Amino acid sequence: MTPEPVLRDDANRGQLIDELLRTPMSRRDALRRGGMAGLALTGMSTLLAACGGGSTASGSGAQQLVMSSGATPVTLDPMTSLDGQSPLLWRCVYETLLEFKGSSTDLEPHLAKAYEYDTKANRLVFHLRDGITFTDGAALDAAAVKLNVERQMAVNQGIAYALAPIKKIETPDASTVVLHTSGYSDGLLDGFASLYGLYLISPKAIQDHKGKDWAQSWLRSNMVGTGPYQLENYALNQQAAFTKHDKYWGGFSGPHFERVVVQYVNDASSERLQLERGTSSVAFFLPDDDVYAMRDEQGVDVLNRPAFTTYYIGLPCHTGPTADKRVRQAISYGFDYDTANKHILNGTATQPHGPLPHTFPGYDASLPRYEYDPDRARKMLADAGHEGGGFELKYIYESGYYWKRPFGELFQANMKDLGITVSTQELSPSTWAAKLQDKSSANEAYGVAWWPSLATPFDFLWTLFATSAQGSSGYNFTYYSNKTFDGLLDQATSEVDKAKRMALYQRCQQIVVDDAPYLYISDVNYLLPMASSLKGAVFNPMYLNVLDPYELHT
Amino acid sequence: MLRLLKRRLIAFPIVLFGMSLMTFALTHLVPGDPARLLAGPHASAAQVAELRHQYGFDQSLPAQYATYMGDLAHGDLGMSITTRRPVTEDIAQFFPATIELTVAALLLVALIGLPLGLAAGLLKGRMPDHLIRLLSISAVSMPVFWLGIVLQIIFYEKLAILPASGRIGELSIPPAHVTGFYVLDSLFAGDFAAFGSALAHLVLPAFTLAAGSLAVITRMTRASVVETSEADHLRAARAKGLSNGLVIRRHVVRNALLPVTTVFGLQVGTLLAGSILTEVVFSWPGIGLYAVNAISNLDYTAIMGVTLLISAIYLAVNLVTDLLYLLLDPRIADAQEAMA
Repeated sequence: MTPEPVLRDDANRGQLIDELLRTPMSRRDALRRGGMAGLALTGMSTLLAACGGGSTASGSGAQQLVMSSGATPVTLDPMTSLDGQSPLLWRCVYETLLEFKGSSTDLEPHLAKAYEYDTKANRLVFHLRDGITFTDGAALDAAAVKLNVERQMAVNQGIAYALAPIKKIETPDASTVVLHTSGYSDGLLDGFASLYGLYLISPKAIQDHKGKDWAQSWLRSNMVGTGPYQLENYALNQQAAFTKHDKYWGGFSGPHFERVVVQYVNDASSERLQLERGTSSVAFFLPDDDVYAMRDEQGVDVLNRPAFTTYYIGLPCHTGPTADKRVRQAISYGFDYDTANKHILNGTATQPHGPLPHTFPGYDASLPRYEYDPDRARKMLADAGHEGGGFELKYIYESGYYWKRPFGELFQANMKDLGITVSTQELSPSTWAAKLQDKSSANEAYGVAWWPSLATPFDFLWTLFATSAQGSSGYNFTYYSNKTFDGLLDQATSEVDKAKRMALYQRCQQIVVDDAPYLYISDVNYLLPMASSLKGAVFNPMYLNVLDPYELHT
Repeated sequence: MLRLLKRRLIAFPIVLFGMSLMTFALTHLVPGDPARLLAGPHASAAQVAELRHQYGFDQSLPAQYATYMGDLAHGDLGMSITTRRPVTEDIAQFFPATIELTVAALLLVALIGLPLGLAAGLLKGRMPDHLIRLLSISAVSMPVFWLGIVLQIIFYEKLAILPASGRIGELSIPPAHVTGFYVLDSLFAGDFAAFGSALAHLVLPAFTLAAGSLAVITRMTRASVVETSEADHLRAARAKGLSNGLVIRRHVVRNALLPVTTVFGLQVGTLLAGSILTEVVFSWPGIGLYAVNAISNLDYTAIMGVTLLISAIYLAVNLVTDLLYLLLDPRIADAQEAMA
């Protein structure tokens, strides 16, 4: 805030002294009033000074970075959650062996100085950088990596599923780790780099607090990593503060913040106000409408980059009229994609060719795309035996996803033109998930978003379409099932040759575009409002809702 | 008085048991899968099943309730699925924040509401009375979330003299836990910067929370003062030659405060419940915000813990209010004895 309050404090002090001097009073009165005035002034100046000093986004000399977030993290333990909010904190303290380079999906070594993946011998070798230590002084060596892999597999949460092919770990010397796998698995390497990848925790911290739960109870509110910052304090639902790690292997010679604070602001209007007033420099998890409105705000820049986030409407494939592929195709032609992307999403999205986002590996722009054509949709419905529609469909969505309600309303209006009656219902997130996970009760259309944790088409294709991912096994709530697709996908994920693998994924995409279990509506850009003064932000779509504070400066 | 205390103390666990049963049944009637929600969309079926087992959701409902009550008897409120910590630990962290906010709001209610009500009652029908009544009606009519946002815009955005949200500024480190009240703990720690910051952060949420109760207490005090002022014994007191100030202090205020005490006690419960919205608007990390998160994530144990806590406090406050009532007006105690 401005220094104005301090000046006001001085003025108040002057007025009170004037009054004390002018007014005749007894000694007792003078003492009483003097005491009260003193107390009031002390309180006032403390209050206002605190208020004035506690709100500068970047602190004096741009030493402090304040980021606000509208959603609270689940845990500080990076091995036990796949939630979208916690990685912002993890990436201040923890690092991975590999990283996605810049804004791409190409891998590069990070804590490892080199790596080799021998797909014939099913062997993955990491060569570690020398001289890296955790903030508690423990060395980053092969034994530390081995212990971390073992912990990740033992707790069996987070990215553990991607590391499942690892069968044996060897440490021939202090800086070499050899992982033996059961076979080739597309995405295994990404498990060492992704947003939920294997973040390395101090082996000393793990051993000291291991107990029966592999230190889960301790690590959910404590952090010991190799990263540029270390945890200073953490108050759940309130704030997390980090100070620089003096012995960080990357050094602090460049323009880096010395302290990073993440504040949790539950109310969107307060979070927006704080960014506009300069109290915070980045606002994560703001509702879309607030972000759109901030694009013209002075002093605020809205980062707008292609991301790997896609929005679909899923159709029940196992029951009702939409079990017929021709009906699903007709519905796909009956939806107004342009209105959804240009008006509801404010021009920040485009309609993709198929289920993958257009910047994602394996995207196929030659795939046919369902264009909005109500006449064709009506004709196709008639051909499928549903002349004039004449059936009902329910669209359910969960609260908290700002785009799902307007998408449902547009879907309702578009389907009405085809003679299909759509009713919509908002549910709590857990009820929404529970309803769709149960095949016997899941007979609704629903809005769904997906973003990958591994940079492979398998991440989208298995989770949303595979028979084995139906219900609570994955995220296939349409209950779509196609044996040819399943077979091709299995072949693809174990195919070592990249060109052949991509060709298999392409065939998989052709099938799901033709079968139309979903309406492939939006390939959505990522928008993040930030202070104009903040520089150095590199957005990688694999690291969603995260900025690397080490790269940021003013 | 002892009889009343005994009766209430016997009823206490019975009411709490009823509350636990009702809350358990209601939360489990809502269809939902908190384990899937917690595991996140990328989690595999095995991971979700692991979480379900870890939190006991794979047991039958009666078994889950029996386990919960068994643990409760040992002071264990279970593990929260959203924070992944024991609920007792969460409550120990969040509840002091709510109490701090509630106490600050109660202080505002007492320090502003009582004098205003007294002034309005004594000046009945005159301009200050009309003005105070108008203010009271406005305060009680304003929704908490709206008032909160308006105050933020005025005092944070426009005047820049108070912070918008949170419990302490980003430059301050939360003080070491002694009482859990940041204002007190920062003083104990001798950290005056943190004290000032904590106090500044308390002002707007406390006033927002207090507004509704403030209006109720003002109106109640006014009505009570007006009623007491018209009593016969006051005329007699004045006829005896007592000064107006003495009559007001000895006879009006004391008698008028009796019914206000009951309402004041009830306001503690109202403020505790009302803190939920205030905490959401001001991102005040208290039990209200915790409850909101728990409800949206269908965090059974956290919902149960918060409900039992609020119920216990409500019962305790009502008991204290009744006892206070007996102390202030011995006629009620006598009447109770006579009835017994």
